[in-house]
Amino acid sequence: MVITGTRTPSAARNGASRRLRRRLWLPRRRFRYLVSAMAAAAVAAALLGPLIGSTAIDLGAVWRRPFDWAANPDAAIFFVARLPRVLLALLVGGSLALAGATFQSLLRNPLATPYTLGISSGATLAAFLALRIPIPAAVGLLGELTVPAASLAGSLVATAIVMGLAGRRGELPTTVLLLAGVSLNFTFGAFILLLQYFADFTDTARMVRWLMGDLEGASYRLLAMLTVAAAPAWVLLARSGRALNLLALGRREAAALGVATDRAERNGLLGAAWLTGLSVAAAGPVGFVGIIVPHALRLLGGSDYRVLLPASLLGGGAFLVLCDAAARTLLAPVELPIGVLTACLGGPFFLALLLGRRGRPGIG
Amino acid sequence: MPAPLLEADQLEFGYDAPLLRDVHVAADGGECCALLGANGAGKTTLLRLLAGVEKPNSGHVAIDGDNLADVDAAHRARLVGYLPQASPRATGLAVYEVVLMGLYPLMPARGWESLAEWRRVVAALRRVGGRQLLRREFDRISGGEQRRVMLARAIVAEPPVLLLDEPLASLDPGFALELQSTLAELLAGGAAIVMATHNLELARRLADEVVLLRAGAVVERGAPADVMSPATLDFTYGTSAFGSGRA
Amino acid sequence: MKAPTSTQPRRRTHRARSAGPVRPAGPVRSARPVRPAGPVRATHHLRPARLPGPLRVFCWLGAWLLLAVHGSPTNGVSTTLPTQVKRVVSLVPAATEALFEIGAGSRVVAVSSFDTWPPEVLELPKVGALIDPDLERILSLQPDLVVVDPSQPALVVQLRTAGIDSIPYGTATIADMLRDMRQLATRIGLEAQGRLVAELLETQLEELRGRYARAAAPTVLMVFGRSTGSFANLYVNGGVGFLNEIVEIAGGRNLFADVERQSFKAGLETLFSRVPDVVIELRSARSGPVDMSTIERDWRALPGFAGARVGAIVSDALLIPGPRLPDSVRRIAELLHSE
Repeated sequence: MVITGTRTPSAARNGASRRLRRRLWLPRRRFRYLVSAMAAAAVAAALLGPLIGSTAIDLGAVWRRPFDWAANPDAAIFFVARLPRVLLALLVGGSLALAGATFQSLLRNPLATPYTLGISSGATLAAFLALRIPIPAAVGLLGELTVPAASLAGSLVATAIVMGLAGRRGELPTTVLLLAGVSLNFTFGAFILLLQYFADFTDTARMVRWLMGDLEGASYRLLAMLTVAAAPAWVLLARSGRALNLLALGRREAAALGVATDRAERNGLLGAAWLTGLSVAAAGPVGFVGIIVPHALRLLGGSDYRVLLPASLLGGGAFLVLCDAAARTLLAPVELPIGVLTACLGGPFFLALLLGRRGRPGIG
Repeated sequence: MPAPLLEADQLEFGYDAPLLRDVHVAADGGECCALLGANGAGKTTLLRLLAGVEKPNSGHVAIDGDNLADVDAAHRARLVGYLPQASPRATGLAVYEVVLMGLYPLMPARGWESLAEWRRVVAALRRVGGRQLLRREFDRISGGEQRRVMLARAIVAEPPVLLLDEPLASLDPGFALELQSTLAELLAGGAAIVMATHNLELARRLADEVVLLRAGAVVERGAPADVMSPATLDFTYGTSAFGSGRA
Repeated sequence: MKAPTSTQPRRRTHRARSAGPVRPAGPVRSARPVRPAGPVRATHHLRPARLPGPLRVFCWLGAWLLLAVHGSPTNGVSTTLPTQVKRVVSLVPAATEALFEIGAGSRVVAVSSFDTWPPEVLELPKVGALIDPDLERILSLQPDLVVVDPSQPALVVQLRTAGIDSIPYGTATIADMLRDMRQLATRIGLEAQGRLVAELLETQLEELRGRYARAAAPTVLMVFGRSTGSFANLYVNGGVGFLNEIVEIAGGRNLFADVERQSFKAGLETLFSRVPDVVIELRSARSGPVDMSTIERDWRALPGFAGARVGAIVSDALLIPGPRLPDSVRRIAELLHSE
C-alpha cells in the first residue's frame, strides 16, 4: 500500500509511518476495505439474485440466440421477471440506506430513518389517492407509472411542507424539523387511515399490500427513470461525507470548521428526501433498510460519513436483493412481502452485530 | 499603523432582545485578549460572532483584512480555530477522527488525508497532553479529556486566530498550568488568541488586553493590571465579593 | 472551463499547508505568509463555468419526463392482431368461468389463486391474483394471452416486454363483464360463441328480472367481511357494481343503494339507522362451515332487527360475475321471497 506524500528516504521514518498506520485504522483504509466489500456484495447480489426464483429455469438457455423472449421462456423469466426486480431492489435498497444515513447525520439522531420526516406518509397518501381516484388523463399519459408518479408528487409535497415549517430564517433547526416531521406523519397517517376506511374490499387489500413494499412492478422503463432521477442525489450525498461528519456534531461546529451549513443542510435534506420519495414511489415504503444498513456498517467501519455513505449505498442495495431473494424462495411458491422480510432478517442480524460488539474496544 | 490581525468593530447582535451592543475587539498576532464577564454577559456569543458561526446584525469582523461576511465558510475556517464551550456527544468517532476534523478546512475538497495529516493530529494531541487518547472512543473518555481533544482540534491546523471558549473548563489543575504554557507558546508563535474565561488568574497571566463585558456591553478594557481592579470586577460580575465596598 | 490563473494558487496553498512537512510544535506565525491572502480572496466567488443551476435541473427534468412519456402503454388494451391463441392464463375468476363457458377451457393453462370453478381449474397451476401475480410462473407457462384485471398496468408492461399479449377483464358491473367477455372471445377467435353466451346471459337475467319483479320490493342489507359474534370489519354492499345489480334483478331494493361505491365499511350506528326487511350475509367458502343459527342470533340481537329475515350464503360464486350470475340471482331471490 502506498500512501502519497509520505516518501521520506529515511528508513527509520518509514518504520514509524508503518507503525502509525497500523495503530490507526485510517478512514481511507476503512473506505477501501468496506466499500470494496460492499461493492463486491452488490455485484454478487446482482449476479446471483436472478439465479433463484419460484420456478426452475435452464440458465444455459437464457443466453441462447436470437434473443426472442416470446419464444424463449427461460430468457423471458430471467430478463423480465427476475433481473428488473433484482435491479430495482439494488436501487431502492441503496437509496434508502443512503437517505437513512444522511438523515441520521442531519437530524443528529441515530434513530432517524428515511421515513422520520413524514415523506413516506405523503407518498403513501398520494399513492392511495391515485389508487382510489384514478385521473383518466394522467392514467393515459403515464400508464403503469400513475401510482408511482402520484406517490413521488406526494413525497415532494411532504418535503416542501416539512422544510417550509422548519425553515424560517434560512435555518433548519433539528428539533423543529423532527417535530414537524412527526406531526406530518400523524396527520398524513390519519388521512391514510381515512382513505383505507372508505375504500372498498379490493382497494383495501391493494393498499395494505402497497404498505408492505413491493418490488414486483419493476419494468426497465421504471428502472431507467429511477436511475436517471436518483443518480444526481447519489453523487451529491455520497460526496458530502465531510460536511455530514461535521453536521452530525452540530451546526455551529460545522460552521466553525468550514461548512456552509445552510446550503449543506438544505442540499442534504433535499437529496435524501428525493431518494426517499423515489424509492417509495418505485417500491412502496420498504421498512428498516434505512436504519439497519447504516448502523450495521457503522459497527463494521466506524461513523466517518465519508466511508459510511458510499458503503450504505452499495450495502443497502445488496441487503435488499438478499431480502428479496429470501422473500421469493423461503415459502415458494408463495412470496412474502419484502417489507416483512427486511424486518425479519434485518432485526436479528442487527441485534447480533450489536451484541457481538459489546465489550470490544471501539473503532481504531 | 496596519490593522490588527483580528478586529471586530461595532458588533450588534440579538434575536429579539439585543445580546451584544457596540462591541469592539481586536488582537494582533502574538496578542491575547481575554473576555471576562458574568454568566450570560455575552462572551460565548461574541466568540461565535468572531468565529463567523453567527452573523452579526450589524458591524463587522475582519481577520487579516478579510471581512468574514465576504469570505466563504471554508476560507473562514482556515483563518480561525474555535474551541466551543460544549463538547459534542454521541459522535461514534475515535479521538483521532475528531482531531482530524480540524484539518478539514486545509484539505482539498475531495480525497483522503495523507500520513502527514495524521502526524499533525498526533502532534496536536501530544501538545495538549492527550497523546495516549489517540485511539480511544471520543464518547467514552472523560469530560476533561474531551476538552483536551477539542483543544487539539482547534489548534491542529495552526490557524492564525484562536478563539477559545473557557479553555480551562473541567481541566485538572496540573494540566491547567501546562495549558497556560502551551497557550503562551502559541502566542509566541504569532497566533492571536481571544478567550472567554472565568479564570481571572489565567487572564492576568496571559492576556495583553482584558475586555470586561456586562449585559452585552463593554464595561472596561485595557491591560489586566489596569482594569482588573476590585471595583470594576464587582461591577462586571454584579457582586461585592471583590471588596470594592459597593453594595 | 476553469479560470486557471486564479484557481491554481489556491490549490497550491492546500498542498503547501496540508501535505507539507510536519511542524511538530512550530511557530504559528510562520504559517501565515504561505497563505497568499490576495488570490484566495479573489477566487472564492469565481467558479468553473458550467450551465447555471436552474438550467441544468431543467434539462435533467426534461430528459426524465421524456423517458416517462415515451412508450406509454395504452392501458392494457392489446393492439396487436389476433393470432391463434392456444395458451391462456386467467388472473380473473370471472374470466376463467367465461373461458370455460365459451368452450375455450382446454386452452386455459393457469388460473388465479382464487379460482375454484369450474372443477377442472382445481387441477391447474395457480399463479397469484389481483395484488400478487407471480410473473415468473406466468412466464414459465409460456402463455399467448394473459387475462388481467384492469388495475394491473405494471403487469401488462412486464408481459409486453416478454412478448406476451394481455387483455383486461373488468368485472365492476354486469355490463362491463359482458363487454369484456365478448372482447375476450373475439381475441381468442371464438367471437360467435362469446356473443352467444353473452346474449344468453342477458336474456336469462332479463327473464329473471321480470319473474322477481314485485310491487313492494323488500329492502335488503347485504354484508360481508365480519366474523361470527362481532360486527367489526363489516362491509356493506353499496349502490354500485354487480352485487347491487344482482339484488335488484332478484327483486330486492338495496338498502344502501344511495351510497355510490361497490362496498363500504359500516359501523353499528349505520346499521341501526336503516333496518332492512332482509339481511343477507355473504361468507366465503374458504372460511369454513357456517352455523346458520349463530348468524341469525347475531343479527336478531341488534335493536330493530328482531323482525328482519336473516339469510346467509356460503359461496364464492356470488362474488364472481360470470356465467353463474343467474344462479346467484336465484339464490338471492329465494331468500327474498321465501315467505
